[in-house]
Amino acid sequence: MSDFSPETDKLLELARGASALSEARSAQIKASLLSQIAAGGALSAAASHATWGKAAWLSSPLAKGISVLALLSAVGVGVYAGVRTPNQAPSTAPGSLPSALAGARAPSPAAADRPSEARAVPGANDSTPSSGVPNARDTGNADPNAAAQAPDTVVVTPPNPAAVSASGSKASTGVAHATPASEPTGGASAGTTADTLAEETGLLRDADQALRAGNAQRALALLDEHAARYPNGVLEPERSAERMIARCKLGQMDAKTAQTYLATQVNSPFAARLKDACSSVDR
Amino acid sequence: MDSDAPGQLDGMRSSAQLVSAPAPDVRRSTPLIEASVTVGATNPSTADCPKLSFEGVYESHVEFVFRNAQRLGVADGALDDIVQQVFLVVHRRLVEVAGDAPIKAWLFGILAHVVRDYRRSLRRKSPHSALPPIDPATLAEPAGRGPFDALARSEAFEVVVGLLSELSDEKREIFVLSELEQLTAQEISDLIGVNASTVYSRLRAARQDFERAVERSRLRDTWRLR
Repeated sequence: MSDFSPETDKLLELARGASALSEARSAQIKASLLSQIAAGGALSAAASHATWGKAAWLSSPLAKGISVLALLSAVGVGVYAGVRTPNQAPSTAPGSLPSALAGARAPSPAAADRPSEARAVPGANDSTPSSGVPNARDTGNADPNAAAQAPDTVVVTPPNPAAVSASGSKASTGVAHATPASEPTGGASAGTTADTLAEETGLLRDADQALRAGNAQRALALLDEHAARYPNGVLEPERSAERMIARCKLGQMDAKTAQTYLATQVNSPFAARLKDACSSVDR
Repeated sequence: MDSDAPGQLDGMRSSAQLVSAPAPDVRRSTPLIEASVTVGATNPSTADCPKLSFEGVYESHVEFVFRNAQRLGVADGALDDIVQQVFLVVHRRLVEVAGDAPIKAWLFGILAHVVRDYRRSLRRKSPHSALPPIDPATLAEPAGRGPFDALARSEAFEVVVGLLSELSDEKREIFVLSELEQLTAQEISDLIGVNASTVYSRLRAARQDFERAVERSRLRDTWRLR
């Protein structure tokens, strides 16, 4: 027996059948998704931790992953556009992404505008362990591809003074579908914290891009700046890794230190790139 | 509410175990596949448990995520974005999820959260504006239905989503799962991790709220026509 009036019943019956996702749109979403993943859109996602602050939601790694996306929406995630080059096709997509998302830590401090709501929703995460880092993936193929396509792989940031990377914001029109969607999700009212994080992320992203483009010198300069401005930022681990890579590439790293560091980073998302850059250090 | 969607749970189970050929660099070398997946199969030992592939999860569940994001009030312009956000989390967290875990529940939890956040940021930006209406043209027309049918459906959809915006997040979610996704109370309970009796009472309250919203809108229309 229905609780509803017949009219309401009819309304619901009609509404039920209305949603449908066309193949084309699904493919579009998927393509954009894979591009974002491969282009390291996750790097910026890391910045979103701060707005979540004491997200008590689930208090599980799932919360961290989601919190990472919270700011993603706050700074206008829809703006990310990645270019998918031929190299980048399926093989690098799904599993190969030891993205910086993995490296992002959840910082309890920072803007705590998250009431602990939504507790009702999820019971499903009891199965998830507490580790915050995915298993080491031997993504030997990820880095060479990334290096090869570096100039093209771009993450376009929203209009944020510090974060705008002048060097090469080429957005692919093919995958630009994601772009227009930024508008409704831009409600970053976490104020300065969000801006700071966007800056921090932007700096790190620029360094990363420089590194991938082969300009280790510039990368190092940016990383030094990052270290000066955000000594205790949430992205400290990422910075350390990037810095190590840069120094290895510049031949500034001695073999012993490199090996030691490498050994500690076996499970890090940067493992592959580190290995690639630092294994050949034989000084 | 009767179990009028018996396929749901089965679908959920088999989708959870569904795996497509893994990307070359992926986790284990176990040959996972359709052969080892049977609907209703009892849990394999974790050692044999096929790991999920991201693409597999995406293909199996993107529609679920998409249509419920729509129903929960995400404007069409933001829809792709929201779906992507959900799957970015999925991608990030997939390693931690066992092959036989309740994927749908996990997904819905993520979706609900992402949508709540989205709605909150919308309210912040424009506190007085209603959520933008769904453009009927963007709703894919299920095959085999005439244009008038599709129109009626999309209009009804728009109305329902509009009315649902008057409910609280919690009630809206439960209403969508029950009345639109047509899950049983038990399934909803499994999905959102709330016990069945709470589901029932919340559902009853949600239905009342919805019916009242229908009433109000009817009154508004009547008034306007005078």
